[in-house]
Amino acid sequence: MKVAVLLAGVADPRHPLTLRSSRPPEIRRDNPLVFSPFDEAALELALKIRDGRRDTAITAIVAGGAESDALVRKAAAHRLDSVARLESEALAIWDVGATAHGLAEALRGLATRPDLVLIGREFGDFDDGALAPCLAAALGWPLFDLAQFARWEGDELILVRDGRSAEERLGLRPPWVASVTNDRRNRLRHPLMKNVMEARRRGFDVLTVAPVVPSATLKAVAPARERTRREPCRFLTGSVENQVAELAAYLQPWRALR
Amino acid sequence: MTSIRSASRDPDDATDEREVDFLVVGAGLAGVSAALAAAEAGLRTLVLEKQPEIGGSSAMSGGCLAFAGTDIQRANGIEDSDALLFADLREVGRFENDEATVRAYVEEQLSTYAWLRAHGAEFGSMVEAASGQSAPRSHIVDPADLVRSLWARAKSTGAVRLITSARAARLCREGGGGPVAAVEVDGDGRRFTVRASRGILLASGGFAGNPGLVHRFAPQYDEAQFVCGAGSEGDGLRMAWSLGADFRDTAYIKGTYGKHPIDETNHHACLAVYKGAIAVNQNGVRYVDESISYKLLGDACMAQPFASTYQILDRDILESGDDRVRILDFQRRLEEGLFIEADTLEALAEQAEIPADALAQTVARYNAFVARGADDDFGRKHLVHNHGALRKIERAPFYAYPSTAVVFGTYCGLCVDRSMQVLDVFGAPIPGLLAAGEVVGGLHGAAYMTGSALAKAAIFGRIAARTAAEGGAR
Ligand SMILES: Cc1cc2nc3c(=O)[nH]c(=O)nc-3n(C[C@H](O)[C@H](O)[C@H](O)COP(=O)(O)OP(=O)(O)OC[C@H]3O[C@@H](n4cnc5c(N)ncnc54)[C@H](O)[C@@H]3O)c2cc1C
Repeated sequence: MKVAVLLAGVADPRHPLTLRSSRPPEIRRDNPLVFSPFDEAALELALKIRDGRRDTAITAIVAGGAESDALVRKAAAHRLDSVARLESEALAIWDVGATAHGLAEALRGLATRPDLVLIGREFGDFDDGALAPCLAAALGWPLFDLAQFARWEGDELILVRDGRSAEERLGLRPPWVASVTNDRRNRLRHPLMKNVMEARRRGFDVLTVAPVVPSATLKAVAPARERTRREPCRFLTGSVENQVAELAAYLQPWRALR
Repeated sequence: MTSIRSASRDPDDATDEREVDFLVVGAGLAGVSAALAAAEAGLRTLVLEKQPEIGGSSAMSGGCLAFAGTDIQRANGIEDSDALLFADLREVGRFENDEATVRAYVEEQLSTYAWLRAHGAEFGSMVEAASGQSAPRSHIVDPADLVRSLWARAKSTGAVRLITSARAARLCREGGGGPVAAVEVDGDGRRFTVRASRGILLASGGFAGNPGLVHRFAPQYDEAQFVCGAGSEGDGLRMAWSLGADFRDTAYIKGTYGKHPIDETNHHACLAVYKGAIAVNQNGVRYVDESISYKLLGDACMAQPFASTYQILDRDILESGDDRVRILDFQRRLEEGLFIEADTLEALAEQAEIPADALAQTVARYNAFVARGADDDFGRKHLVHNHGALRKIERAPFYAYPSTAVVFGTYCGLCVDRSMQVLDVFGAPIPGLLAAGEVVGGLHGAAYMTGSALAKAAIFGRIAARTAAEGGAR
């Protein structure tokens, strides 16, 4: 099976966000990037699929500018068959439709067509979940949304997600797009140091797609309004019993909200 | 070197000069212990901390303190003594450490333990054996709590003040060549001077956060990982050097073995080897006696391919861990996904990309050594140092913990006498200048006993305060 994983990275939440520009490529450049939990889940799902069938080939494509090269190497450290960066200047990533078309074009340009495209349930900082369905539509492929786990049953790959009351399993006949959400079972493993070092030396392709004309123009990106606290933070003090009592009294009104 | 002329009398004065009895540079465990002990002895004390918060490396540490002969050890049926502690410290330091400094530690350790407890330190009820310990003597405490609670006690005496975000920049001698009597401080965007009549204590920690300085002494660690308090930049050393202070043990800067090479959330080393695991390199081959100090294990690991190896263990060894001890909290790390786990050694090797036959052979050979009671390859006799019987690696599932060396601290530094007075390059005390904690050299020598760095911070901090109180610093 040939699996393509699409990765975007997000601004590292451990650092304060720097917003000096309204241009997404510049915002990415100004902020340290990490894989989002959804990116990680998508990558781990691909690795799980490979664990089950050694003949699985994984290609990872990281959308971004040169600032994302470290993310490409991070993905490569999982000993993937190929890694590439998709130059994202052309993608208009605030416009899901346009971005989906750009990603679809990049996938069509790969030397071999993937059987399965995995993409996190949110793709980078500008998507809130619409990109995966749009990508499936742009490719004309079926979509399995919010996959949590994958396993092989004989030659058939089964994707799994928890519904409200039941676990849903789907056998796949390629090609498919699957969006992946994070789950205890798809927490990204750590790469081996040996492969991290090899990935540091490894080269990779930079893919480009023709600029997509967005349906809207991005006017500005501004910091979200800060929420103000009603009460300042403070430590509970006194004996443990007092602290428990005070905490219980504080939480009491919350019961009604359940 | 700078000399000082006049000083303001009022320590609260906002002018550019202040005066106290005792000045402490750095608010890690050494600094707060010294401040509290000085306040108890009636000294008006000022603590300078260059970071916005107190704590230094101490607060982020594993919280193991090496004491011998404690009530906790007795309650666990462990026999230990000053004599055994002394012998272990000398031996693990390969007799490269300074006998007088080791003796100072040993003589004051039990009273420091009692003093810490009297000031609210809450040690766990279990003690574990770790690097360099013939008897289990790692006493576990929440280190951030310890620093906070000692500081709260010190503050409550009313005799101690703290200025944070204030960096001691230069030491000043009286009249140019007399006793060290003041410090120039950068804080609040300006430079001010603090005079101290009874002594100045450098408790500024090590220099693991200063790659340039580490490189000068240990270039082989250029590629290692470094984890330490943000203020560990060697300021105290450089200030003392400028006055001709001597230093030692820099040849023995080492990383601690057992840090996961990739994980960024868990700072601490994991030492399954001390519970019976073996260490193998990427070729599946053992390369060291795993019972030696984790600093020496660090050196051995740095010499292996990719500077990264694996601790290989089985279910029994995993279950013998202790989640309350950070270096032995195997179960927690398993839950965090840091161990590689498999039902067979072959499958484990495959995941770790180690040649499967090599790993199987290594484990079989080691198990045979354990059965025979003789490790022909590396002479390992115990789990750790002189403690614990070896165990086979045989019950599935099997685990591999990827491990590299991490430099937590520099553990080398200024030469001091038994009263913690800093010595110059001719062996003479520099009047007015004391040092305690990680900035001091001579205790560890060539390697390191778990818990001896934190305990040393408290012990030497107290000794330094006593020296100042008794007027011995000048
Ligand atoms: C992750 C980790 C785990 C560890 N675990 C253990 C363990 O379990 N057991 C053990 O024995 N040891 C352990 N160690 C080592 C041990 O924590 C340190 O050696 C010890 O805490 C040093 O104490 P200290 O007070 O001398 O220095 P620190 O605690 O580092 O305090 C020094 C303080 O001085 C401040 N400072 C520096 N320069 C200046 C200046 N110019 N002006 C003002 N302030 C300044 C620093 O900001 C810092 O707050 C560990 C270390 C680390 C990093």
